[in-house]
Amino acid sequence: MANLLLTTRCVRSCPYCFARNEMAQSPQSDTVSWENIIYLADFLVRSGEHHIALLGGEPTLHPHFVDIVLYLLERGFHITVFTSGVMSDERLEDVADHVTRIPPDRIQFVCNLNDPEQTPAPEGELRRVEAFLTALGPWTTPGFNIYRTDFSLDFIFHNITRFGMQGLLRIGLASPISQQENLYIKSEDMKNVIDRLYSYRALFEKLHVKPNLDCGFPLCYFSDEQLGWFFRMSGGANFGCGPAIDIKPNMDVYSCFPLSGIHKRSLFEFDSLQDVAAFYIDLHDRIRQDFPGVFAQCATCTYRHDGRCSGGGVCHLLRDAAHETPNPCMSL
Amino acid sequence: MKLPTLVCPYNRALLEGIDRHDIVVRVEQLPDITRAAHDIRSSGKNLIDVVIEVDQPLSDIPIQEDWHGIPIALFTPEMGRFRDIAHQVPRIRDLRMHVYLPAENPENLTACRILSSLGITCCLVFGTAEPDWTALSDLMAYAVFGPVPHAPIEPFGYIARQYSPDAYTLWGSVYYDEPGEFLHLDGDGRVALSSAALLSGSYIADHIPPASEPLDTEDYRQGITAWRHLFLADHPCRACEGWRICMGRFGAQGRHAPGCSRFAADMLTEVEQYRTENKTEPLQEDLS
Repeated sequence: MANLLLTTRCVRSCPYCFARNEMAQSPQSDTVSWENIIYLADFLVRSGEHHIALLGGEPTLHPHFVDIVLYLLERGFHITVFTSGVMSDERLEDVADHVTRIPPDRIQFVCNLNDPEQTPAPEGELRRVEAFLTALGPWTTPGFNIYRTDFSLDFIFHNITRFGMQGLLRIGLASPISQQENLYIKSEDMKNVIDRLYSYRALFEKLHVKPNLDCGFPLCYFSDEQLGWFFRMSGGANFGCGPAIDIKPNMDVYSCFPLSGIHKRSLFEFDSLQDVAAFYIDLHDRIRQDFPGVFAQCATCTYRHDGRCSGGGVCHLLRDAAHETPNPCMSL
Repeated sequence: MKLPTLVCPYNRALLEGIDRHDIVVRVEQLPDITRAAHDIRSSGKNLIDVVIEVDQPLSDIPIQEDWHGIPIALFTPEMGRFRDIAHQVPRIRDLRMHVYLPAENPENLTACRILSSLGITCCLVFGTAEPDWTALSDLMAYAVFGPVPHAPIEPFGYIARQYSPDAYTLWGSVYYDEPGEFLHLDGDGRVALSSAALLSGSYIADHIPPASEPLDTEDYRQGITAWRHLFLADHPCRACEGWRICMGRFGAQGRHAPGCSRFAADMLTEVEQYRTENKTEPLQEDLS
């Protein structure tokens, strides 16, 4: 699936933000044009791809957000919108007025929720998120980025019940970025994170919420009991690492935010989404030849060898390698 | 010899007096679209198009079910917001409607791309104001070489289809405004060679002669080769590398400029490439 950044502007400043490096380098006026929207739609159709994710920044800040959504639906796409839920009352009314007429199987929001106690937000932000969830809860899946080991999920379960959100929780590990400091989960803390996540199993089960692990979780850090539970609850689990195909408003492309500084290309250089994916899979493979995984044992791990685990995220590998070799990507 | 198509107002008495010519009928009101089409077809004449010019955006036009099957050329100033037209897109796509938009408004170039990508044929209308030639070149490339099937964007599609290095490409046909192929009638039946001549009251005849008698006046002969005057007048278009495909259509309106010339040259390059590649799939159906 391709991720299109409608704009690089964002209304939040999360302490773990792994897009901030890329966003900081983009002009404030960086919003995708209709010409590029149509180019990408054609590109995806030609690639046989019918799903597109819209993100940012905050994608709803794009002045034509609703029009773009309606256009992509008319082109036959299924849409996932990654949002903070923070938007003006006027924009929310506009979005809700149109989206609530669309079946949730055609468009879905993933609302990235921060714990109001652990990640305090400016006054009024929480009210706006609640307004968003009130209007669009049934179209929305909660998303949560873990950036500290003492995280809490209670507020998310509360929101799922309160706002009738979809019974799926997208759980991501905050990833390190180069050049700037951000809060993220270090390799040695992943076991604690997994144990804490598992401690919420009773609530997951009681509220019928499926845990959906995002990329970067190492398979070997799960006990058999934990693995069994994750598989029973969600029907599968992901221990891989992308490459996610992120496309900027100007059609620059890279393989996920933390790696945006590495081998950025233009979508115009490729003929299909498969070509883009092949390019970045090859890049990841080359990185992993030098840095097999986040743990020393990854080099000889059966799971990694057989492709069932990627040995953590490439972003972690590069972060760790940077401590040994300045700019380890230069040789790629 | 094929008779010229007549472009005439919706006037029953006038239409009844026309024999054997194909008809493009101009109507003033939206409800007249269905009435005019019915009248012309029921009299056994061949209806080429119903032309209507409105002053509201496409998004504000109440698309009617009974327009189905009627060829309609809708001249509108703009598309309007996509959100306001989104619900009408499937209905418009099912019609035989071509949406004509003024080229000088940059938003209309984008609108053409949007509509075309959704299967709605559109056409740019060049007035006296200067369009954004660079954006126009991009749109032309999309129209001719777009990577996935889309509806025609005229006049580019027509030019790509009809272009021949051995003949002039008379793309005024997409506007029913090509001297020699179309004649324009006013409500009294007087005949002009072009829509501009009709507006200025420059007639070449007081009526259409019977189909067995070709219109062969001096004014007519001069009118269909009016482009030659650009050479005699030492007009800048005479040396333009895009002449073969433009034939002064831009410059003759006092608008010859570097951007115009470059655009026409680009267009020539593109259509020659299109021809060289000998695409087998139809780019789009012919407007006529």
